[in-house]
Amino acid sequence: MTIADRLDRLRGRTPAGTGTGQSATLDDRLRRARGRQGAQVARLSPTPDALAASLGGQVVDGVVQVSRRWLPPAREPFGDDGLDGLPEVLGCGDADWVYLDTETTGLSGGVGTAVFMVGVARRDRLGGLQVRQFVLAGFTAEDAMLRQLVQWIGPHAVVVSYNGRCFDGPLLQARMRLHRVLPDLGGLRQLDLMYTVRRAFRAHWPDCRLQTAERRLLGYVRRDDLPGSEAPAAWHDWLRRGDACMLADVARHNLDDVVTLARLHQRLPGIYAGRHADAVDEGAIGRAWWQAGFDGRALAVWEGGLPRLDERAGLQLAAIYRRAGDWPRAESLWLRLARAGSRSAACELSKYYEHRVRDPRRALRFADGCADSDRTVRLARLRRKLLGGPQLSLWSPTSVANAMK
Amino acid sequence: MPPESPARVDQDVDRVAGLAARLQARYRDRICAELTLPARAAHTVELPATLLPSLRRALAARGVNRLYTHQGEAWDLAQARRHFVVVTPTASGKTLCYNLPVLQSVCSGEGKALYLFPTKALAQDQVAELLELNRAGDLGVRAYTFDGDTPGDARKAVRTRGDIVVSNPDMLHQAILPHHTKWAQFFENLKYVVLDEMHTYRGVFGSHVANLIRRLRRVLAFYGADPLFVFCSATIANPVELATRLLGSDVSAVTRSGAPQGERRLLLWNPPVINPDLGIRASARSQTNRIARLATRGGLKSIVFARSRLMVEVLTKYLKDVFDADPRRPPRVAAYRGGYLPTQRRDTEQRLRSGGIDCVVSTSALELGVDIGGLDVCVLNGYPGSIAATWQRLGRAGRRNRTSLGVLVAGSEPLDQYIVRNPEFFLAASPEHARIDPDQLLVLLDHVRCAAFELPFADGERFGDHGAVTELLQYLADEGVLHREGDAWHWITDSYPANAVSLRSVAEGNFLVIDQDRDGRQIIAEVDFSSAPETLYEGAIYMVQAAPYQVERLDWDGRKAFVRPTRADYYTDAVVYTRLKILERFAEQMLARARTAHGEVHLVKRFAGYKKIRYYTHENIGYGNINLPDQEMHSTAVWWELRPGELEQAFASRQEALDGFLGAAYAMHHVAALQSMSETSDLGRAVGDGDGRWFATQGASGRGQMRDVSGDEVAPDHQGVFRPAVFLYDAYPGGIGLSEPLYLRQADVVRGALDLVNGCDCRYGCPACVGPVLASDEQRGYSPRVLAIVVLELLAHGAIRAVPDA
Repeated sequence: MTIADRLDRLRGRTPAGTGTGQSATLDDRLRRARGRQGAQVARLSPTPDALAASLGGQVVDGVVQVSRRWLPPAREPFGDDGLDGLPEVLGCGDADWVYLDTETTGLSGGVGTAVFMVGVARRDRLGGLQVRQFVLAGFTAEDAMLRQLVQWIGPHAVVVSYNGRCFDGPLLQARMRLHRVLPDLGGLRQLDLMYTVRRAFRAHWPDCRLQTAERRLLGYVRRDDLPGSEAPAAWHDWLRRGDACMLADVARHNLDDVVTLARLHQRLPGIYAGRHADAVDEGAIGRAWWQAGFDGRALAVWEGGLPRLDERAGLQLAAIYRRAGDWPRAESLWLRLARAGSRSAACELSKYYEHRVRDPRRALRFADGCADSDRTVRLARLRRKLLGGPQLSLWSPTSVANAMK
Repeated sequence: MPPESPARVDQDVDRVAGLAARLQARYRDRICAELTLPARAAHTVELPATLLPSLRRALAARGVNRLYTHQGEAWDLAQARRHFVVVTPTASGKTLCYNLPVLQSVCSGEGKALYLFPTKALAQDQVAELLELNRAGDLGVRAYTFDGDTPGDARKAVRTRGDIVVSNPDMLHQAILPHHTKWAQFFENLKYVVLDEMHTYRGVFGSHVANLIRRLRRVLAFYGADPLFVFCSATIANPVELATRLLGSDVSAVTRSGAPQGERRLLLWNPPVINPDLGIRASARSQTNRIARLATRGGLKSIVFARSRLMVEVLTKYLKDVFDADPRRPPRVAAYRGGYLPTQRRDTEQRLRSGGIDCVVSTSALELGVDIGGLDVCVLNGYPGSIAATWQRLGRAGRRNRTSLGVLVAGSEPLDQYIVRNPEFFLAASPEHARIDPDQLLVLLDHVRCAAFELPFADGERFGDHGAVTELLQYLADEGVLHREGDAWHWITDSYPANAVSLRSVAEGNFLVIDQDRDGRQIIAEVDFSSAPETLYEGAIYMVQAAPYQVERLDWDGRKAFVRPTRADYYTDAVVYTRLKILERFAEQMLARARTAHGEVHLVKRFAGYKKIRYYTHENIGYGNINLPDQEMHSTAVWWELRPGELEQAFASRQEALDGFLGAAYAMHHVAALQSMSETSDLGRAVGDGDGRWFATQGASGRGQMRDVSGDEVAPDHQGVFRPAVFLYDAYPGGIGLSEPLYLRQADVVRGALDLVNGCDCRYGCPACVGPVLASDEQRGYSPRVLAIVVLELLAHGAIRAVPDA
């Protein structure tokens, strides 16, 4: 019995009832025969030249390179200004933006997942997008592809991707280590637009996949798109049967992804500056500006979204007002938040009325919103100040509502 | 370690000696043999001249100014860059054998180290010890654990900044090697790999670990690293062989301990016969209980080892009934076993170290190097199954300069009885060989697959000491997993192969035991997949720290058992039927009146029901059903059957033949385990027809029963062909190479079983020879023991010709 037969049986690949010493079933033998047959065919035909012909590219050192130029529609011309208008990259100015998307042999990660197609793009001076796709016709040219990629991207680029921080980036790094490609992409700055999109739209969209973003923000709907999850099978088909049909679809999908990246990058700074017609989460956007140290931008975004702000953003905005001495705005914001049930806002109000307005009666109405440790002391002090004033029961939304009448 | 004060030492010597004397006086007839191992003085050498001053200071701060001779030897081997294995007793300062060279390497900037321990708990102990030395000498060494509990954001720091990374084989397999490029920096600088508790890497687990090392060294070679491997092990017969097989390269040994040791006394104890007709002795449990009680009353710290989780719970309950009756006082007795949550176990370990517990009852879980401080008395409830494990467990009692006492209480099983009746065998025998089979086909395939994911295979590339694996690569390519291009095999599947391979051979994952009565439905225990069907069926009594819980619902797919505390006065024991079918004969021998063969079999385990057994009286008070899927596996087996015609001549009825085969199988199973130096649980036994049409079990009456495929009882006389066979199989999927040597030495197995049964003191058969006999001879009308002898004599007639490849 061959090792293959023994393995099949040990692993329960053949019915247990086939009896002793009997060889594998016909079906199994056929399956195996087909497997070998397939491998032979594959060794003959999937050459770089054949692939280059199918994709309309050329072969450079065994790597299929496809070059295209893409022009934006007239209503949304590309410009270089303001591309750094995002919290992650503000101050980069007119950086060397490179858009990158990979197609891989798998989605599970780990060293064994290979990248067989990389699309990269860069804006040109004439308002278009220069796209270059590097495609493998087999593993032999992987080393050359990775080196060509590093060279194309150059040492000063900011790499723009969608989920590249967790997926494309680490995979490329792993394969570059495997081929000892140095320098690799590790030293480059990254802008992962997935985080940018998620932050702004998570609360409003069912999901934040790239295609959802392009449909909602760019109005672009793909036709006959090959889902990214089928890319591994497409390359499999190519390797086994020399069938480039599906691979051409993958290339189109990859081109779409890269173009969308560039278009989203064009669109998102406006949204982050508060110019938008869509439902966005201004609270989260302002917070991102705030955390990145751009208070002015945070203020603008928050004020633009004032009626919709969540509690956290509202409190932060009120804090900006307070620090700026703009007490009326701070007060009205706190009152609105307190009415919506914010205990922290009530506590801020209590402090404000006690120390600033010096009205212990109103301060007392809101004092229950303060944290436990604080509250007892505060309540006692306020009661002392009020001495003989009415004893209010514990703070509750109704008491707030009454207090504000 | 601070020296113990002389006054206390004397007092304790007296106490331990006093207990031993009392036992010897009162139970002279139960003690079959005694052995005294004299105290041993320390042998030391100077600290190595090349040792860094900072390390010298660290050692001095911990009171170490000289090394024990074995530590010195280890240092010299490390400096000579020779792989080595250290085999010295518990508490002999084994860890310094590797910590010292490793710290020297780290502190001098030479390189980093990877420590692998079989379990997470041991790894954490180890880091604590390293950190102590680190603090004592202000060494600035960064030692981190890397396991499933390491938070995601800390992992990068471990990879890039760790000098010593402490992990376990499972993490290396699933998280480190498949992402080795992230570890490039660590691997490039790796100078030492340490594998402690090497003796646990045997059987299936060991075979996996050997392949894991092949993968590790393959990846290391890619990064240009060739670190030194250091193994540490408890006493086994073949440490060098095991280490060499694990590593696939030559390994030197350090075996002579220079550490001092107090006097050790060992008693072999056989429970008294209480029914000479049936050869029934008092239970080991009752004797163990008595000895542990005496020790605890005498103010001594003791540890009791039981062979099953169930027995741990039963013994704990009995001892708690005596010592922990008052709930207001802190408990003096504790149970310790796998399945408890890590926090519970850490707590028990801590209380053991601080002396808060007087008696701990444990499974083999405490056999490993968990630090539990020094104990005075060790009681083994039953022979642990191997000589190595026996010494390992006995070593848990005894401190450097104090006397300790060990008592081995024999159970009714054949091995136990053999050992206490032939004490010279036990006292003179070398410990067992630890065997692994790194080339076991399924294990090898699993790891070739993982290795191909980690780095493409080149044509003709060797996989460790296995040589080229071209056929396996081709097999994987045919499955579409690999793609051959030029002279290399590339991974092309969308999967992460390590996730599908479990090093402990059970891929299916653990079961959680959930208490429904507690808030938030608290998890109270974990049970591994293989023992779940036998312990977590609906209706089962599951015990945690001797508190009984009843399983109300088992969610097999969700791997959860929902339990509720109960007050039942019984425990439960599953009834398991094994059916077996021969798939292929690798080899066959014709004997004069029988034939024996070796080959591959398909096994089905059915969980038929369970018995309810009352506490203390141990009477059977009822049955319940188990509704669980059958467990299937392929394995290798050796089997014996009679030649046509022999059976009819030798036996008056098929029923008698069935009883004879069951008895013979029982004896052969135990003798085979002893002869192949494995534990009885590594081998399975079955009696059946080899086509899986019927199999035999012992019924409640003690008589053999024939059951068909669906488990229903059938009458032996109403069957057409009747050809019973005795099967002994490897109890692991794919086999682990135990049955082939048994086939080659089949005559010894039969002869040994015949000696065992012939030499037994009982009249009709007993647990020490052919298994428990419930019905008396009169009721049955014949003696199962005599029938077993008939079968064994038929099997024992010599070989007339061998049929190599049938």
